[in-house]
Amino acid sequence: MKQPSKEQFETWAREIRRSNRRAFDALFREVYPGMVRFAFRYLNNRAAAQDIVQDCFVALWKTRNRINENRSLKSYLYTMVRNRALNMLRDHSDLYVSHDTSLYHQDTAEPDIPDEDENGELQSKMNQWIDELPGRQKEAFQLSRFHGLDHDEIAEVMDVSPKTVNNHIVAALSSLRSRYEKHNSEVTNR
Amino acid sequence: MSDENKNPNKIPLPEGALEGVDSREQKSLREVWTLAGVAEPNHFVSPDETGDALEELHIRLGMEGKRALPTNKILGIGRWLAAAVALIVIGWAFFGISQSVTAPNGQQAEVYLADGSVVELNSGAEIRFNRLFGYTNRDITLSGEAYFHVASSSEPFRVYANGTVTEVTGTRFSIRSWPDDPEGKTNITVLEGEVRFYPESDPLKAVKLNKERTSIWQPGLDKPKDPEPANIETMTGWRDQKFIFYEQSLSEIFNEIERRFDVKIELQRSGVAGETLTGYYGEVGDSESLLEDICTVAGLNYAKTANGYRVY
Repeated sequence: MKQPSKEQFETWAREIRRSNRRAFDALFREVYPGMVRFAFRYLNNRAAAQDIVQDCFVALWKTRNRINENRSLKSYLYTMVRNRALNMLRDHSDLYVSHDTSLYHQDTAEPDIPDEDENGELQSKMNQWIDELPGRQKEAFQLSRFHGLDHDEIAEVMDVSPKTVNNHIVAALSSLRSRYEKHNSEVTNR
Repeated sequence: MSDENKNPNKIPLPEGALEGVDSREQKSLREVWTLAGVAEPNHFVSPDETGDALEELHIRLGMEGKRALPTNKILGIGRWLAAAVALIVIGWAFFGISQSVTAPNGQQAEVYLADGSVVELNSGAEIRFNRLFGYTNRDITLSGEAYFHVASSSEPFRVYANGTVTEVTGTRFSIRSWPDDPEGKTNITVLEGEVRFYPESDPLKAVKLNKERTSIWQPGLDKPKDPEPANIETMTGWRDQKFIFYEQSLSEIFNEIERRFDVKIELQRSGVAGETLTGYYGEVGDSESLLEDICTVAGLNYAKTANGYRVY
C-alpha cells in the first residue's frame, strides 16, 4: 500500500502551518476516506462520521498556526476524530446506539463484492469479530491495520505507551485467529 | 492517485510487532493480519464523495472552490504589518508578454503558478514569467530571493537569475540573487530533489546539486562553485520571519534589513561595509532592536532619520 510517507505528512504539516491551501486540500483528499471509516466504527452512522471529520478539518485550518511540527500530523488528526466521536457517543447515546451494522452491511456503492459467496461471508464475519474485540484492542488494531499508523502514533492517539499498543495488537490478532479457526472448523463440518 | 493506492488491504504488519512471539505463532498471526484486510471496504467513501466534502469544507472555511491562477497572498511580517496584495501586471497583450509579481519591502508574497508550483518571495524580490507559463514553458526570471516548491512535470522548470540558470523537474529549493549584491552573487540551496545550476552564457558548465547542498555563481567565475553542504536554516529562515546571517557583509545585512522592514539605512562610516557578521534571530522585534545589536557588535552608532537610520 502506498500510504503517504512520514515525510509527506511532515511537509503537509509545515505547509499548512504556513497557510498553504494546496497542501491542506491534498491532505484532505488523502486522509478523508480513512478518517470517515474510522469515525464510522464508533458511530455506526455515516452522516455523523462525515460531519465529525469535516469538523476536524475546520478546526485544523483554524488553528493551523499552532500545528506542532514535531508531532505526527496523522496522529493529531486521528486523535481529534476519536475525541469527537467519543464525545458524540457520550452526549447522544440515544442517537447512536450501537447496533449490528458493519461497514460491510452499510455499504452503499460497492458492486464488486458479491454478497453471498464465501468471501462475502468472511468479510462480514471478520467485521463482526473486529467489532466484538475489547474496545482498546479494537482501536489499536484498526489504527494499525487499516490506517497505517505506527505504534508511536497510535500510542499518542490512545494516550498509552507504545508497548501497550503492541500488546493490544498482538492480543487482537490472537483473538481474531481463534475466532477464525473456530469458524473454519464449523464451515468444514457443515 | 489511483484507488488501488488507497487499498487498506495492503498495509503491512509493522516490523517488530511480533517480537518475542513464538515463531510458529508469528506465522499464523501474520496470516490473520492479511486476512483481516477483507473487513474494510476500499470504496466506503468514493472519490466523488471526497471531492464534494472538500468543496463543502471550502465553503465552510470561506475559501473559493477554485482559484484563478496565478494568485498571490502577501504575508505580513509580524503583526504590525498589514497584509496587502501586490500584483503588478505589466502588459496586457495576451501572449508572450510577461507579467511580474513583486513582494514590496516590508512584506512577503506567496505566488501560486499555473503548473501547480508555489513560489515564496522574500521582501523586495520579484519574479517575471510570460503568459504561456505552465503551457509551453516553465521559465521564470528572478530578481532577489525566493523559495520554490516545484510541481513535478517532464517540462523543465528554469529560473533565470543574474546570469545563472537553475533547472529542475520537481523539487524544493531556494535562490538568493539580489541585484544589489556587491559581487553579483547568486546562491542556490536545494532542500529536496536534484537541480542543475549553470551560468546563462554556458549551459555546459553546469553543476548538479541534490538535497541539502548549496552552490554559488558570480560574474568572473568560469563555472559555479562545487556543491557544499548547505545550512538550510540560514538560507530559508526568512520564510519563517527569522533573520539569520552567516558571515555576511554589513552592506548585505543592511540591504536585507531595508527590504524586510521597509526602512532606509545610510551607512556613513567608510571602510566597514565589507566587514562580516554572523547572527541568528528566531524572532525579530523590530528593525531598531536588530540594528542596535548589530551596531553594538560592529562598534558603530546609529541615529533615527525620517524614513530609517543613519549609521556612523
